[in-house]
Amino acid sequence: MKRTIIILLMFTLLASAVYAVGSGEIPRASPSPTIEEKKIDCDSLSLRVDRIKCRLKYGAKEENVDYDVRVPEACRTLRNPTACIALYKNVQQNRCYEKTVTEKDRCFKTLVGFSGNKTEESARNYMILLLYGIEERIEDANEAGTVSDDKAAEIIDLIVDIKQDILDGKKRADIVIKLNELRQKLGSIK
Amino acid sequence: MKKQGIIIIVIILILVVATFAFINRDKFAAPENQNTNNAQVSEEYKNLQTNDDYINAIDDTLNYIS
Repeated sequence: MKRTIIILLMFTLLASAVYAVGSGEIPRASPSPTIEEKKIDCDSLSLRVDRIKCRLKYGAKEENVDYDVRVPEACRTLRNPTACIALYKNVQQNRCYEKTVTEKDRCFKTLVGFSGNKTEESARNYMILLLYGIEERIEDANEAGTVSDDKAAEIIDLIVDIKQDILDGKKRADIVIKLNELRQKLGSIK
Repeated sequence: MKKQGIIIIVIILILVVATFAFINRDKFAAPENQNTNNAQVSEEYKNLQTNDDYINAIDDTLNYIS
């Protein structure tokens, strides 16, 4: 009788340990349906700003996009978009944008290798991720109703423009002009 | 006999709690470690909270562009 009680208690202990291990990770829900899944073809629109507005309207946020299906706007005009698409996929897979403040920056810098010996290429890629961060914030503000579709599309269009310049290897002076324009536009929505 | 049983149950409960705490030690320790890490890396990693934070980070990075 005594031995049976001890065996039962040991079993309880093991079961509790197994439960504790099993409850360590909670599976995440899959992302919400993308525009592709809703069969709304914003990509067929000829103007970039219209495509952006269409995606905003139908809730196809960048973070949910399947980059195997849709090439990011900033990568479209590149002669070889492979590395650009890989950068977007990488940041999406690592969920950098779900992280907070310094952890987010750490995630960006680690992904593009912008630490220690900082190269121009890593600096350009880091800037792409920072601009993507602003884009994400504009999308969130639009979703919350604090920024209109038109205004959000206008700002995101400019962000994509700057990203294309960075990826095209444009000079700092050219980038600064558009960056100042972006700063003004962001100031107008505060 | 009854007293022994209670002692065994208490010991088992302590073991269960200890096992759970050990398995999840990373989670329990996370907030403290995170603060320490943030304090250590605050110079290196930026606080990306506002649009201005992002723009300032881009401004700083422009120095590495020709």
